[in-house]
Amino acid sequence: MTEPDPQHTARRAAQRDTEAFAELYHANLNAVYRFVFFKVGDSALAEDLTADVFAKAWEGIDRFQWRDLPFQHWLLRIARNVVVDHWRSHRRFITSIDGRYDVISDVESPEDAVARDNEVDGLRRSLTELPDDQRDVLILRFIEGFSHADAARVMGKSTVAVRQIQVRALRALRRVMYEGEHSVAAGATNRLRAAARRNTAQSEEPVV
Amino acid sequence: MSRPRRGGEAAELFELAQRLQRLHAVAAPDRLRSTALAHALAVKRAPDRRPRVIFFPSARGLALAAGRLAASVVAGTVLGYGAYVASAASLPDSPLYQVKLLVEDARVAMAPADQRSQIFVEQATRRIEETDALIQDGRISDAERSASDAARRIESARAAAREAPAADVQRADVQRAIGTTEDQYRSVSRVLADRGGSPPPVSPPEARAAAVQPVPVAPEVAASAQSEPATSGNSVGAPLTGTGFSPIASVGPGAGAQVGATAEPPARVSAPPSDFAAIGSADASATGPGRSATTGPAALTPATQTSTPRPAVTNVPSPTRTPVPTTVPATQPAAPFSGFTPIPTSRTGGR
Repeated sequence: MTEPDPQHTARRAAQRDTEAFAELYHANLNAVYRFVFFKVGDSALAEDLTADVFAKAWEGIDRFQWRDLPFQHWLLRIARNVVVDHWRSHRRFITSIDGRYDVISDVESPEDAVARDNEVDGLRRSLTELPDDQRDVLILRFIEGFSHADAARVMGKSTVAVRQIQVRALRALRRVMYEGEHSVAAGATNRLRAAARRNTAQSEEPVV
Repeated sequence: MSRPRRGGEAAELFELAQRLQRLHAVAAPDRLRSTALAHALAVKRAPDRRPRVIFFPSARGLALAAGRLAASVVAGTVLGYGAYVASAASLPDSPLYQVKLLVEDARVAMAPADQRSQIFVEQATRRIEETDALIQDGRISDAERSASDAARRIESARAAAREAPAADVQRADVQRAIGTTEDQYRSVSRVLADRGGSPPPVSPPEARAAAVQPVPVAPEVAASAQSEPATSGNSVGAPLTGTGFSPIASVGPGAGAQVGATAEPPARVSAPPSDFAAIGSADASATGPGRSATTGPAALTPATQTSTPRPAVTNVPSPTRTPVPTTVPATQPAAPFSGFTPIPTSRTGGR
């Protein structure tokens, strides 16, 4: 059985063919969700916004034309706009971070799963500290594996600009992660020193 | 992705990028997989945003609409002015001739009352020039039409001069210009008659005054006119025409009962040319001593000169006839007649 041609499927979907749109939906759901999830850092909110992305895509499917950009790139453009609209209307303030997520492959040991959870959680939190453009570049280039040119098309920027943003984004991410690790280590050290001081004070109290 | 050879920052960034690549394993939850599609497909087709645009237009929409409107106005103005300019020299057989007449009528309608007579004189002069050109082209029927329009505008100029408030000096200038235009018209009419045409005659000075309709006056004025009918004609003082003439509403034996109906609004334009002889004959008994100083060099047409005066209506009271009140009260304001320019007689003056 041959793979359906995504361009042909997108053309059928543009004719408001629900089956074709469903095919595109299943093919692109993970990419859209990941993009939104790592942008907002909250899984529940990411689910809602992902649903909004596909609702807007179906709403404006008539306007989609493959010659401008592939369907997935068009969806990710919509996702960027949906997230920006959400932040505009709700202020950019996340009260609770829900880091639950699913994985594509569940063939892994419990130890690997724990390590992966830690990794995902740390990077997710760090990504939320970056500016929008830097976060977008990191998601598109490394998490989704886009080329510089494709990332530039989705973001509406030049390839050179994407390269520059990418370097700045990696440096910024490294700094954020280092500061986070440093702050964790510093917090642990402070707690140990405080406990030591308390113990010392108790031992030096005069016995009545 | 190949690892960079040099260590330090590049190696750290490369490692960071590899860690990011592992996040590709994150997938959408199963519950979202089943619900988001239904949610998306439940959305109707793109809602029509036109009502929102209509009631709350964006700044860009407003700018576009304003731009289109301005472009339309500019294009309409340019085209309209172009058509007017092109029509200025058109003759009756031209498709733009009706545009020309429309513009002329609009100009008269928009002009203040004290300038209408001048505009009518200008238009009559233009018609006379057209008539001359048409005669030279041998288009006699078109020349007749143009001459008829010229005669109509001369009469309108005369009526407008009577109705407009103006000082005596300016009134005399207006009458002189009308008389000059009449001379031009008669000159062209003679040429047209020689070529087999039949131009309508313009009214003689006496007929002009007789064609004036009475101006409605207040009831108390009418009452005083009834009480002193013998002096009503003399109480006019200096009427608009400068003749001391008390215009009669209508002539003929049966018209006397209607003459007293002074509350009726006056008609603006004088009687048609065919009635000029009869009207001119009616003023013989009502003409005051100042009448001979009326309208400058205008010569009476032979038909009018030979017509027999018919004193059908006078201001003498009778048991069955209501005396006619004065048409123009002595308190008529004498606003200056401004903006008048004598019409040049270049084209038809030598004929």
